[in-house]
This record gives sequence, structure tokens and C-alpha cells, in this order.
Amino acid sequence: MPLGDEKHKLIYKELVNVLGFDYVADGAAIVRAYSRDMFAVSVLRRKRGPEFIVLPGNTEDVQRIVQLANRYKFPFSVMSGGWMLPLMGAAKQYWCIIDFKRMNGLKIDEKNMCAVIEPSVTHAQVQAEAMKVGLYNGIPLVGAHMSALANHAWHGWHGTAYRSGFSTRNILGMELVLPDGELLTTGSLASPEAGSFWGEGPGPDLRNLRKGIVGDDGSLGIITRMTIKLHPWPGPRFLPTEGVRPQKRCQLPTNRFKWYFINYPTEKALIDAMYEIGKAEIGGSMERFDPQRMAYEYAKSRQEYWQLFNERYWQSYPNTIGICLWGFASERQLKYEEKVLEQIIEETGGKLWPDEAYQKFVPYVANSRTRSIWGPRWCRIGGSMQTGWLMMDTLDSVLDYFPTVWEHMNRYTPPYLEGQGDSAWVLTFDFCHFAGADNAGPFEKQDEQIKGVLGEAMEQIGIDTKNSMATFEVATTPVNVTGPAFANFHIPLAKIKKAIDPNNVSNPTRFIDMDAIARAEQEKAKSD
Amino acid sequence: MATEKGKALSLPTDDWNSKYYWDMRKVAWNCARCSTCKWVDVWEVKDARFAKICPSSLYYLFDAYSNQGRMDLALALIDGDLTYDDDPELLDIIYKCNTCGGCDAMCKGVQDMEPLRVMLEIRAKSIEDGQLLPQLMPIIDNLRKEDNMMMGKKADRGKWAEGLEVKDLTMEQGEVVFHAGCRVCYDEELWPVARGMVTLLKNAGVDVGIMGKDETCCGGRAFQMGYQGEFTKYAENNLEAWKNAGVKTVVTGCADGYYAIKRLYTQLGAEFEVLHIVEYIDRLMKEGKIKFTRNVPMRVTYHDPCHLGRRLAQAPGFYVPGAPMMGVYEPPRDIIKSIPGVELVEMCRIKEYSWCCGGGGGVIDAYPEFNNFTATERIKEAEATGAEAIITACPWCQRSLTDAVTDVEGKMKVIDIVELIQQAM
Amino acid sequence: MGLKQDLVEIVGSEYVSDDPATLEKYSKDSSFVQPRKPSCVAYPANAEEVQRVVKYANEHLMPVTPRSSSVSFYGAGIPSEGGIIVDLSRMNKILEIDPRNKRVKVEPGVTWAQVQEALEKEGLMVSNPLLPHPAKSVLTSAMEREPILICKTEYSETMLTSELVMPDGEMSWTGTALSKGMKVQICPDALIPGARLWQGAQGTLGIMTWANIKTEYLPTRDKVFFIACDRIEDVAEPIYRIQRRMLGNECFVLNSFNLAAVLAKKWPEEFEVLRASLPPWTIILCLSALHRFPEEKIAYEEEALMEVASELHIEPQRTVGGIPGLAGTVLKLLRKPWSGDGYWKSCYKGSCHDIFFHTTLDRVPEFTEAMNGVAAEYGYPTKDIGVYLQPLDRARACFCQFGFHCDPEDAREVNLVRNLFMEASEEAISMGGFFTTPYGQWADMVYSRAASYSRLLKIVKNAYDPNNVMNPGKLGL
Repeated sequence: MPLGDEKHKLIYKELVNVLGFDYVADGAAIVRAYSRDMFAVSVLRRKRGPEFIVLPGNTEDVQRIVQLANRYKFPFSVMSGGWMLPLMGAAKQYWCIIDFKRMNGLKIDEKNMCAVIEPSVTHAQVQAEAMKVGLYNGIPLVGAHMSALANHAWHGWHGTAYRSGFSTRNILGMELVLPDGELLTTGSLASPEAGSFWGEGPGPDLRNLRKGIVGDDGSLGIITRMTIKLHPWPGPRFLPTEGVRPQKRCQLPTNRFKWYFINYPTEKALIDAMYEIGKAEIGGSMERFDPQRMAYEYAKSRQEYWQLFNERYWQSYPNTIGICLWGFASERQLKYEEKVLEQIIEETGGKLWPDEAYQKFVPYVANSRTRSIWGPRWCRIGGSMQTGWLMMDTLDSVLDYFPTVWEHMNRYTPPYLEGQGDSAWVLTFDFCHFAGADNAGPFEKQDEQIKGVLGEAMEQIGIDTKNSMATFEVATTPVNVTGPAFANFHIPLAKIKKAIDPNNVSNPTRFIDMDAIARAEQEKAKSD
Repeated sequence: MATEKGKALSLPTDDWNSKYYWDMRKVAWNCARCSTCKWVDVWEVKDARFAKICPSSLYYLFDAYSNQGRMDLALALIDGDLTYDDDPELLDIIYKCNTCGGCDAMCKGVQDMEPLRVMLEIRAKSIEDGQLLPQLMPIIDNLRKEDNMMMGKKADRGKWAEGLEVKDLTMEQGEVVFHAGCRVCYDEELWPVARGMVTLLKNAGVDVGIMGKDETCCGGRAFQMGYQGEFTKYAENNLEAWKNAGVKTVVTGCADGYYAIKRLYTQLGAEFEVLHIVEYIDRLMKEGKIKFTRNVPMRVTYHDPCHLGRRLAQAPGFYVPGAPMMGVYEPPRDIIKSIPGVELVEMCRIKEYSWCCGGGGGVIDAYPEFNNFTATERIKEAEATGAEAIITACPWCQRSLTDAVTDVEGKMKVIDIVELIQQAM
Repeated sequence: MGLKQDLVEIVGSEYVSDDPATLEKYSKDSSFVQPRKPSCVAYPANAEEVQRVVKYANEHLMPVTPRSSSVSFYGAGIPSEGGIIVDLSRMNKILEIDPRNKRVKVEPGVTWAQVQEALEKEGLMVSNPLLPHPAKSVLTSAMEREPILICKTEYSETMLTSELVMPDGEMSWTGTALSKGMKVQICPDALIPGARLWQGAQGTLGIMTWANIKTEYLPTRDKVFFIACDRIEDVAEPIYRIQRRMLGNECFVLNSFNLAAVLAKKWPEEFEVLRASLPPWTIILCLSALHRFPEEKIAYEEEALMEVASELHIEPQRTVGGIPGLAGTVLKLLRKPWSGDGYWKSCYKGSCHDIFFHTTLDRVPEFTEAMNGVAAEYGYPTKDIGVYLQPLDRARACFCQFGFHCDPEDAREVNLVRNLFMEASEEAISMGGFFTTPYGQWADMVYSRAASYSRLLKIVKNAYDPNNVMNPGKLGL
């Protein structure tokens, strides 16, 4: 990268004018620390990475950076935790990463059950403050140390979403800096004096302009403040823990919480049981625990992982529902729900885990579904993982999804590490109104593997999605590749992108490839 | 092997992915950038304000200053993608770290890795490559000349013990040596602490002696700074001196020294019993040889020194993947709770997820404002508990925290655990 | 050929009208929105016909305004710039009922009366607003985000997936309906943009031709409680605590005016008696249970409710105002559309003009005071304001509706209420009342204060509807 050329120096000077020396960096060592993320494709690009790292302190700073980007035509992207995705696209000249570390404001509105957060506030921080006042926020498996805002903006699946809804449904008022530097407020924040307690509108809901199952990576706007829903928490102020890391245990008070792990003879039986549980509207958290996730979350070391895997220990429970009953109203509610669940288990042919397995798993892992802690263990056995292809539709469609996605993987990717066939995560939302499935696989972080899993494979799958159930792979495929298979939804999106990002500076290599669209238009004009 | 899903599954091609062993490049390569190294164990986060574990990341903000960033730099240096000349800030990045091990402890919860060891090896490598941090050079020069890390004169080392009736192990044999440590020897305000330790042991009937003015640095802090050669020299010297004195047990009140002697010296074949003063007192207390008879009505909190805690599980050669990050957590707490009238309230970050005092890794010498920031954060955390005193078990911690209280004109008392014990006897 | 003839080619001669009486009917509704006649009304039978009408409109740059049913309250269906009305009431099939996945697939012309009756046979219901008009479109209610009586998080956001005729006449879908590989296609979120972009759009971004909407199981046991409150300030805290414990299904508040209006069968005598006997404010809470051990569910919820009551020194009762059998009467009203003679809102004077917005429960008293204040300035009796408060999403927010009544034949009265309506709306907005669906004149009030949102909306509108044919003029677009 041409560090130090005249344009680079000019951009640096202007960024320092805006933020001050302390918060702008272009040194080789500093930028090197932003050269790769978990989606190891960026590792392949580690010879080229960003040229600037900036640390804005507030929304006005962000606006000014974006205005500079438009004036001097340099691309930028944003990051909070920086684990997934933000860095892999930093592959163009003069790329500037906006690192939100300084923007860490958090305010809880206890009465109206919401929290206003800035980008670098973590889920754990939100939950710690929320639990003090009897509230909580659901946390995805990636880990509670990751940004709450980013997870709501990007994806955000978790077991408590069974009750509290998918992340998209937990976003209230937002403040965004558009790619042209204008400030946008959505929901009730758009109405002066209203506050940020409500998410819709006014009028058509522009939240969905930047998020479906997954978000737009900041391509259509940078969220600088988000209000998220909090939900009632009938538990203690602090999580009760014992032991010392990595052998930490967490058990919630048994008068208000109870975990059940129920195995089923077939996947179909498991799905049927989930439907019945959803119909009964019990439980605070429910999901299918698949053997692979159980294996990597439980194991405290690689050796333990392979030992249990070779013993096929967790594979003994291939079709397991993990459900935690929460006594929101009272202890009596817990008793009632236990009775209901036990009836359902009997009717649906489920079998409770033996106590040995229960005591092995529950104290160490189960409450990673209350506050996610062991997500990064995904990467223990190979260095990286692929989060697979996300599917959301009915619970029944899960039964067709997994064979389809394995077929895709068989066709396009090299083998994952042991356990590919056992990765079969299922969550449901809004009491089983709809469901999501995900198969993730760990793989060895080596160049050939990375290229195979995350390089060409993504492009192929992105194209080959027309009739697929596994349609929403998100890692690298821009929407202009997938759009033609889905009613050309990318065409109006490109117009919107062009209108608000005329210089194509906001994360230009992700989400929507405007250069590719421009080329296609030129080709079409020629042939016309 | 094929499965019913139709595809051959694979086992790792690299045996490192089956069973961990130390390989610096593999560790650096394998960092997944999950950022676990920056944050406290999430199950233990009780307050948003006290959720970070890495002082360097909190103070300097850019990711290069976190363990994750340093893994990227280490990889780049190893692979030749980055040289020292590429960035004048590189050496600062390497050294603006307390080596508290918080990052490493958290990382080990989710990975089989030794990222702290990588950072220490990079320091050693940079010194080998002739890249010396200017701020540390006078410290090391003085060490070489005067056998201490405090810019003091060797001749003054034994002054803290003047008038103390205790065996001189340079003249006599003794089973237990009390190693005072550089900080205490040359920080006059802390002399009463060391004197108190010796007196306690003696009064409990322990046959304790000291090396006095002939005591030399344990070499531990030099090791943290990357000067492994210096460390080895001092370690060998101490081992020889203690062997000659017939020592079987080494006791110290300095957590840095405790770690060095307990963990690093074993690599050189040491076979002594090594105890921190809190372990010894806890043992004596439970044997009934120390009794607390006076009421000490005080609300206190306890600061876990890094080298008395998680660092013990992180020493090179001591890492066992999956094993708990054990440290000396309970003995000091048992002692405090046994003192009548004392109420112990815990801070948010304790034990293996404790916040550092800021004094380690050469930071107190090279980056005093960073040291002060880290210590001030700890004082604020202590204040949030409502405690009137913060108890610690390391003179480096005591110095860092005391200076932080002074700088903010705070009211928090900073007390070594032995000082608290003395109030109860 | 002329407009009418061209439309006849598409939908058939029976299903096009340009007679003056018909055009007059579609030119206005019960709102204060300025009447404007369309040029023609078309009644397509299916999505293909809708598509052809919209493509025709694009070719001729003719405005198109969709109407899903014969009732319209807030002006969204009045053609601001004339053109074609597309009346979707012929598209009134319930396409699928899917108890397993708790959904119903409906065409836009399906009404509340139709859907609840059909679903009841399967033991299901769509979570409904308060006593919806029986002829109102279920799909439109979901599209307009009408608040529902059950404030459980899991029941909220009833819209799942949909099919749309886009403003350019092409077909598109929302959510996983975009993916032909999916068998059922009900997840509302898939690619960007998601289904919500079309909610609250008042037909400016496309015409929905079917939608999957959430259904819920009908409870097998219910127990309705009433909490009487003398002051509006006493309403919030019980609801906050009840919802924090996740108790109950339906939970809402009516003032004496509105509760009397709902209950009265004889006007005006019975209404006046009821109004006088009912407490100023009534919280209505229905504890419900589904299929398994329903009595035990009701029992624990009731016990928890009484704990809340004890904390607050209040008394949940099985009636208020001394009305016998009130719990049973109200229960019958909760999950069905209105079925009486004349819509309950219009019975007092013939028309009702609602100001509604979102706020937080703790701010309701100040908004109530403000509405009363404006009413008093205009000499409108505050006792004649019908108030409905709907906690949303476990009471993290509250929908507030203030109804002002007038005789539509009395021009003076209409004028007074119109002016009052405008001023009170301005007052509510300036105080921070959030108008999520800015109908009619509210659009100017809202978007003049939300310039950046309005700007982006226009960009979105331009991207989807470059010829600006879909319901132009609404939402300031």
C-alpha cells in the first residue's frame, strides 16, 4: 500500500484536524493489528489492509470523518469488537477503519425496559447493568464480550429469542450517520422530545432498509446510537458463579430457573416436540443443542475435545432440546411449567439426559445461553470457523435445510474438521412462529482451507441460491450477486445506495458492489 | 472417515490442533481476534464500568495495544512482514504492557494458547535484535552494577533490616530465608511492612533468616522486561547462595519475587519450597501459631496481585490446557476474614480476573502515566465497594496504589495484609 | 381508448366504475383529509390483474391508490392526486390456515369478521386491535401496525411475509417469501429490505396481494379482572408491575366514556347511565391459559396479580361500576370484531376523530392533561373525550388514543372538532408524542420535524417508484 503518498498524507492531516493526534493512526504497527478477523479470508489479504485507524469520540466526530471521506474520496468501514467481518473488506487504497472504542455510552431506562447504547458497549456490560434492575438482554453465542449494538445491527441469534424475539425485533430508536455524512434518526428518535423508546417509523420503517436476517455492514449508514429492548429478568443481580476459569460454573437459582435437556430418537421427533413446547408457551430459553456445539463449548482443552469426540460422547445426544424454564411471575410459575414440560416430554417420546451428562454440561455450559461465554471456543480446534448458511423459516423446514446445506458444503468446500455432520443448531422465535437454523464448522486456518471454505465457495453458493433453502449466506457474497435470484431486490437498493453514497465510500467492498453494478450497466448500455 | 452425510470428515492435519504444545508462531497465527483478551470473564461482569481486563487496551485504545494486536505484530515480526524500522512506535507497543496476564487468563478460557508467553518472547527477541527501550536501559544498567531494580546502591540494600534481630544467612545456616525484594529494600515507606513480616515469622517460631545487604534481585522483573540473560544470572546466583546457607524454604512478601522464584527458578532446577508470606501466615494461623486477638473494625477490600494469582498458572512450562488458572486466592481472604471486626467486600474484578495495579512489566519505570492510570482505575473500583482500605500482598502493588491515591487526593488507605494482621495482634 | 375502457380490458366490465356516486364514495372517508375524487375505480380479482393495472398506470403516469376494504378511517385511501382506485375487496380469500406454524395466509380483502370466524373453528385467532370494524381488512391492520390488545412480546409484530406488486408493476416478496426454495416462506426477515419497510407506507411503495400473518391459539380458560382508578396517575404503576411479571394476555385501559361506548346497547340512555357509574379509568386484564393444566396457570397468575395488588393497595375485581356479569361480557368482546349496530366509535354523535400516538406509560398523565387543555380551549367537554390506552410489548411503550366526537351533519361542530384536532395534534407532537403512522395532515407535522427521515424516505420512494404513481401525496412523498 502506498503509505506516505501525497493523498495519504493529506487524508492523515485532515483526520488529525478533526480528531487530534491521539485518535488517528497510520503507523505500520498500529494498522497491522487491524489486518485480520475471524473470517480468515482477511488473513489471505494480510499483505494489504487498512491505512488509517481513527477513534471518534461522538457522533459529530463520525459525521466529520464521513464528510472528509466524501471530500477526499477514501473508503471506510466501521468496527466495534472486530471479530467478524469488518476487516476482511479493507482491501482498497486509503481505507480507513472507524474504531468505536471511545463511544461506549450506556444508559438503562428501567421503567420502560430499554437501554441506549453506543457501538462499543458489550452485551455483558448491558446485561450487568440491566440485571441490577431486574432486566436482561439476550446475547448471541459469539460471546457477551462483543458489541451489543453490532450484534443487533448484524445478526444476533440466541436461545432467549424464543421469547424475546430475534435481534431485528429488539431494535428501537436509532441514530445513524449516512454515507454522505447526514444524520438520520429513526423510530421515536426522529420525533424531537419523544425519546428513543420505539422503533417503528415514522411511516415506512427504515430500520429494515439496513437489516434483514443480517445487516448491511454499515454500507447504508453507520449506527452511532441504538436503543435496544430489555426484558424482565426474574433472577439475581449478579450471575452466581463458582470455580476458576476455564472451569467456571454458573447455576441459576433453582426456585426460579430449571434447565431440561431432552434427547429425541429422531430429528423429526425433536421438531415436533419444539412445536408442542412453543404451543404451550413455556420456557425462557429454548434451542436445539447440537453435538458439535456441545462438544466445543464443553471442552476445556483441545485434548478433551478430541477425546470426547472420539468417544462420541456428545453424539449420544444427537437430537437434544435444551430448554430453561424461567419463573417470571413466581416460583409457582416454575412448578407449573415443569409439569407442562414433563407432560410434553412424555407425549413426544423424549428422554431426559442421564444425570451424569446433565451435571457435566449444565453447570459449565448451559448458562452460556443466559450470558454467552464460550462462543470463541469455536476457534479452538482449527483456528477458524465458518458460520455456515443461515436459514430462517418454519421449524419443519429445518428437516430439509440441513441435508441441503450439507449438499452445498459437499460440493463446494473442503472437509471441515470432525463434526460437520453434527452441526445442526436450531432456534425458534416468538414461541415457534418461525425458526432459524445454522450449521457452522470449524476448519484449519491454513491458506488452502481458507480459500476453499471462504473464497470460491462463497461465490459459487451465492450464485447457486435460486432454489436453495440455504439462501442467506452472509460472509462474502454481495447482494448484486444474489439479487437476480431474488426478484432483483438489489436494483432499488443500488439506487438508494447511489443516492446516499454518491462517492461509494461507505464499506464499498461489502454488501453491495457498486463497481460491479456500474460495469454491468455499461455493458448493457453498449449492447443496447 | 465418511459419515451418513456423505462427506469425508477430516482430522486436523497439523498435530498442534489435536494437542497443544508451545510453538510461538502457531500461537500468534492461531489468534482468532475474538477479543476475549480485552474483557473480564463475562460471567463475572457485575458493573459496566469495571468490565475490561486489559489496562493497555483501555488506556491506549488502539487494538495494537491489546494482546490480540500484539499477536498480529508478533506474527508479522516472525514472518518478516514487519521490521522495527517500519514503525517507531513498535517498541513502545511491545512495552506498554504490564504483563499482568489478564489477557492470557481470559484467552485460555476459550483457546489452548499462551499469548502472554508470545509477548514475553517478543520482548526477549527484540533485545536480542538490539532493540532496547531507552527508558529501561538505566534500570538494567543499574541492575548489572548494583544488583537491584530500584536505581539504588547495593550497599544500601540491607538498611531496611537495621536493628532487626534476625539471622544473617550469609554467616549462618538457616532453613527459611526471607527474601525481601528490591522494592521493599529501597522504598523506605515500605520498610515497616518487611520488618513486620520477619517479626511475625520469628514470633511464630519460624527459624527465619535474611541475606541482608547481600540479597540480590530475584531477576523476575528483568525477565518480564525481556532481559532473560540477566534473569538467569541472578537466579543462578540466588540458588547458589541459598543452597550454601542450607535453605529449604524461601518466603517472600513480594508477589513478583514469589512468582519468579516459584515458577521460573524451577526451570533451572530449584527444589526449594517457595511460599508467599500470606501462605505462610495462613498455614501458621490454621496451626494455631498465630492468633488474632484485637478487634479491627474496618471495611476492606482485597487486591489480588497478578503474580500471586493467575501468573502462576501462566509460567512457561506450567501451562496445562484446561486446568483452572489457580493462584493464591483463598489464603489472604481466609486471613482477612479471620480478623475480628473486619468486613471483607470484594471488588468486581478479583482472582483470576483481577485488575492489575499497573506496576508490572517495566511500566512503572517506562510509562509512569500509564502505571498511574491503571492504579487509579483500581482505586476507583475499590471505592465503589464502599471499603475504607484496600489490602494487598505485594510491595509493587502497594506502591502503585498508594501513589494513585495520593495523586487523586483520595481517602482510601492502602495496606499490606501484614500491616492489617499487625493491627489484630 | 379511454381510461375506463383500458381498465375494462384488464379486470372486466363488471369491475370498473366511474359513475359519480361511486367516485364520490371513494373521495372521502371519516377523517378530515381533504376529499378528492378518483377518475376510476377498478376491482381486480388477483395479483396478475393488479400488476397489469399498475403497469398501465406507469405507462400513463396515472396515480394508483390501493384500498383493501370498504371502510377507511384515516385518509390513507383518499386519492390525493386523483387517478385510479384499486379496490382489493374481491381478493378476499383466506388462502391457508396453518395451525402448526401459527399463521394464516390472507388476501387483502379478507376482513376481521371473516378471519376470526374461520380461525375460531381451528382454535386460533389473529391478535386483534380493540374491537376492529368487522369490514376492516386484517392485512391492512397489520400493515398499519395497529396496536393489539395482547401486549406480549411474542405476539407482537404480526406481519410475517407477503407478496407485493411493486410500483413498477413487477412482483416481489418480503421475507423468505423471496426464496422459492422455501416450502412455507414465513420468516419476516430475510434479505434487505425486510417486510417492515412496507408497513406504515400507506400504499406508497407497492400493493400487497397476500400476507402471512401470525395467529395464536385461542385460550381454553380466561379470567377477566378490572382495576378501577380514579386518577390517570394511578394507571401506570399497576401495569408496569403486572407486565414485568409477564402476566395476562389482553391488557388495556379505557376511560369511562369509551368503556360505556363499548358496553352500551341503547343510545343515549344506557350510555349515559354507564358513563356515570363507571370509574374514571379502568384497567382491563385478562388472565388466560391454553391447553395444558389451564386452571393451574390461571391460579398462579392470579396469585401473582394479587401480590402486585397488595404491594400497591389496589383491588382487582371481576366487575366495575356494579355491572353484573361484566367479566363475561367483556370477554366476549376481546377476540372478535365489533358486531353491534353501528360502529361503537360512531354511536355517540355519528363520527369520531382519533388522535393517536405512542409514548411511555409514565408520560400518559401529561399528555392527557394536554389533550384536556386543548379541548377546554375549544369548549369541548373533556368528559366527551374517549380515551384508550394500550400498553405495548410488556408496557415498554403505550399507545394513546384520544377520540373527539362530532355530528358530521353539523358543520359548526365539525369545524370546531377539526380545529381542535389539528391543534391537539400539534401539541402532542411538540410534547414528544410519537406518531408512528402519520396519516393525512400529520405527515407534514411529523416530517417537518424529521427532515433527514423524510429525505431518506423520498430517496427510497424514488428508487422503488420513479414515476411516482403509487398513492402520491401521502407521507409527503
